[in-house]
Amino acid sequence: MNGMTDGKTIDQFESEADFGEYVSLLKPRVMSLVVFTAAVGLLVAPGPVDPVLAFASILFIALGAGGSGALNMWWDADIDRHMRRTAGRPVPAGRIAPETARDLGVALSLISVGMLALAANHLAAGLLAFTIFFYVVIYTIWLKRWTPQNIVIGGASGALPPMIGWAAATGQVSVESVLMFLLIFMWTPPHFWALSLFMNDDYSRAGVPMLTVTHGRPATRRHIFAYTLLLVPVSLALAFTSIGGPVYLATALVLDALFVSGAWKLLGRSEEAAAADGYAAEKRFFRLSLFYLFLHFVALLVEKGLKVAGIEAGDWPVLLSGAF
Amino acid sequence: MPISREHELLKRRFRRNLALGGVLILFVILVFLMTMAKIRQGSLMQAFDHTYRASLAPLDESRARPENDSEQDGTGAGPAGETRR
Repeated sequence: MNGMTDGKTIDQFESEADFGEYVSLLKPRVMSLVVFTAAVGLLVAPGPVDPVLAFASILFIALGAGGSGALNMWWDADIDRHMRRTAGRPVPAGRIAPETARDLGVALSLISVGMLALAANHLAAGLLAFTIFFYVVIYTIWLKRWTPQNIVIGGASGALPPMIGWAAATGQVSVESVLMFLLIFMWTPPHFWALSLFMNDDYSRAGVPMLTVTHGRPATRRHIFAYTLLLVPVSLALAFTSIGGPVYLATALVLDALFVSGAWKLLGRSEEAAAADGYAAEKRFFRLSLFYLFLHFVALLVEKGLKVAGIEAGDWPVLLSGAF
Repeated sequence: MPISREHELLKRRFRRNLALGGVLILFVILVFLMTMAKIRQGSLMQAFDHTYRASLAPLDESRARPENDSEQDGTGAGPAGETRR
């Protein structure tokens, strides 16, 4: 059958997606976070890694994240349509058919896992497969529409990339990679709950049981503060591993102080005050959370750079180390 | 419907196909470079393929004759089937 006459309407032809639309289906902004944290996990790991294989490993981890992003858009098209933040995505906007997003997601997921097994090792590939499964099945299909703890548990999938990068370089899971995982895992709830404080209407409209929708904003503020406190020891513990050091510790202390102070301010704010200034403090805390994670991983890279350059604190206490 | 509209659609499809072609070419180059990197590392490039090959059998150190034995028997070669990768 001719491609121009295969049962499509003129409108469908006119809205046929460009290549860029398919790229946006892979959630490039989420991919950039995955690429960065996976790259840090791989680069700070001990031992040399062939640059071509390192590049390929990070690329396939990113591709896996992209595949799971496409599957997420396929499944969530109905609720994305009701949220301002997501209504313009290619599937809810009608520029790409849901089935196309699904097929692309499945294909990219399979290719990325298979290719990572070839580029790195089976442990890294297995972790990537688990990440995709967790994000698509456990978070997107099951938890997201069912419980306000959705992003707490679902955050595990976003926290795994540095562990995959570490496994790609070493073939092991170590204390260091588990702590990098925990850092992102504990960071995710305050980050997303801060977002939901000023995007609550979106989630209400879509019927997503975010904590702000089910328990209200004051309870969410208390949860943000509690999780921020739990995040601090994880952040500091990384300083006393083989990948930590004084630069990381100084960075973590400053960022933890800022983050706890920000969460404390959110805790004390009334809803009237927040609404009056357009949730300025909440937006500031959300931006701070982005810098918080980014700078922690930059500090780990700096520590690695110093070690490679032969500049390291000789008697730095490494209290936590070793492979499982 | 004006002809120019159909033309725009074809152009868009062409751009998409071109980009996909570019991605596939980059993928082929990447696989080639990965293969080169694996060979440089000395990784095994063969796998089981419907028949046993001596080159895939693990080296049995206990059965392997020492190098000087080979020199003594004048052949200069190890025993048949004892392969070294």
